[in-house]
Amino acid sequence: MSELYDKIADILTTNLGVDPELVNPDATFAVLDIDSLSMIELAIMVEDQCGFKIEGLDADSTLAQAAALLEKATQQQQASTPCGAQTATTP
Amino acid sequence: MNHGEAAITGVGSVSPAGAGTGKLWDALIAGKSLATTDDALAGLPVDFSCRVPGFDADAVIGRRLSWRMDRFTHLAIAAAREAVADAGLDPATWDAPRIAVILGVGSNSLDRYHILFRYLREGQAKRISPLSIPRSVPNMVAGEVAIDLHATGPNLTTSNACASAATAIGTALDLLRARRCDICITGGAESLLSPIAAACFWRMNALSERAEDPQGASRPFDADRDGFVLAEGAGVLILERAADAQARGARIRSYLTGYGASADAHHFTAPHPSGDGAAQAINAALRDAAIEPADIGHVNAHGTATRLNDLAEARTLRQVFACPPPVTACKGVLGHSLGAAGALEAIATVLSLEHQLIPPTANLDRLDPDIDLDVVAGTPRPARITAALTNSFGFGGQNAVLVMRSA
Repeated sequence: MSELYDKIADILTTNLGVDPELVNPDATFAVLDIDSLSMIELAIMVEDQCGFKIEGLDADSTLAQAAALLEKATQQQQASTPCGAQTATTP
Repeated sequence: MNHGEAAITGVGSVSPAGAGTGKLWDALIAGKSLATTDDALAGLPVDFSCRVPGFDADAVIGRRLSWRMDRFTHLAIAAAREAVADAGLDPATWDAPRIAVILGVGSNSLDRYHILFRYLREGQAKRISPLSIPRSVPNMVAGEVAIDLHATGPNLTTSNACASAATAIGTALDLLRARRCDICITGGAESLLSPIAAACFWRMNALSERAEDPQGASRPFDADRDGFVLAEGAGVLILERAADAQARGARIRSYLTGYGASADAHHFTAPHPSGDGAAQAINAALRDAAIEPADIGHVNAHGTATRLNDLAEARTLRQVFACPPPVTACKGVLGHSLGAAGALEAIATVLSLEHQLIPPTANLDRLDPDIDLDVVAGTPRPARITAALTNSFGFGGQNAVLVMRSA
């Protein structure tokens, strides 16, 4: 899996104490017993560590889907930065 | 007439002496203050405290649980697990709806609030954890202990400042008498050692400012006392109706026989100078236990080491007892763990009854000449104690007194 998947897996096991044996790309947050508040906490930790927001997850999302969403957010944010800079300089 | 007593069948504690009641008793008997310089309070005028040393919540209760709780809950869970094991109870088999959890907590945990304030100031409200409230509100202590031990009976957090734990224990006794439960997991927990909390207590002039000598700072009843030392901890006792405990063959460590509560209705922080409200609570506890003042062989005092408390408490004891029995103040060794203090002191009283030994009051070098009490100092004192009393008095004038007798 991707580097971003590894980051999510690391936060789940290190910060949230999820059993590493349960963590795999097909595991859903529900299976990992990560409730809705914990998912918001996870999103804050991801943003703190990666610099990107992860949005649109629910209890049935898998870790692979979460990594894909984060990947997308990364690409969008990188693509939008020059546009944002352009807009800011337009009179 | 005694209104029914509860057997104390288990105790558990996490204190500045470490995790475990054996360490608590050893430290009390050694009679040396556990206060040390506290890196978390660096830069404050009062930069020392009595922290629980080497307590790794991840190791004790597991990261899966610990990350979603603040430290006062970590301490409570560790103490509750010890108490349940000490009582020989098994949460896997007990009748969960009949198990109550009644714990005292003085204040919200303020551990992380300074970070939250910073996020708000920086316009980053979205960075505030959604767990900030469930981590920090006082009732989470009783809630999380119930979850951890699967105790589905009555669940309550009492918040009476420094009398929180004694109020919880007294309330637990009442619930057992009313047969609303069969077993009570009761006591208190607190971890209020954040810079915000320390600064607030310092501004109240409640703290000792003896920063050059932290170990000499907490000196209950001493002429040179200048305030308390902030501490953290948790103490938990298992209470059962005496007949139930005897029927299951439990080891009974001592009995909780009486509880008295009152309000000074005088001032929002200072105790009533006459000690009337506290005396009212002591007399109520003695009546509840159906014993006379002369039956009490030992008083485990509130003894915070503030000028006002110790003087008022001494007056109170002189008012109630024609000849006050030997007194000790655990806060000399442990500091003041606020909502947990009454529980740790109740456990100390259980241990004094078991060992027939009164721990010394740390740092009592010269008794305040205005305090006419027999305060144990220097070395532990052997004593024949059949009944003992422990006082807790809170800001707001809330007084809670427990009477115990030996098994």
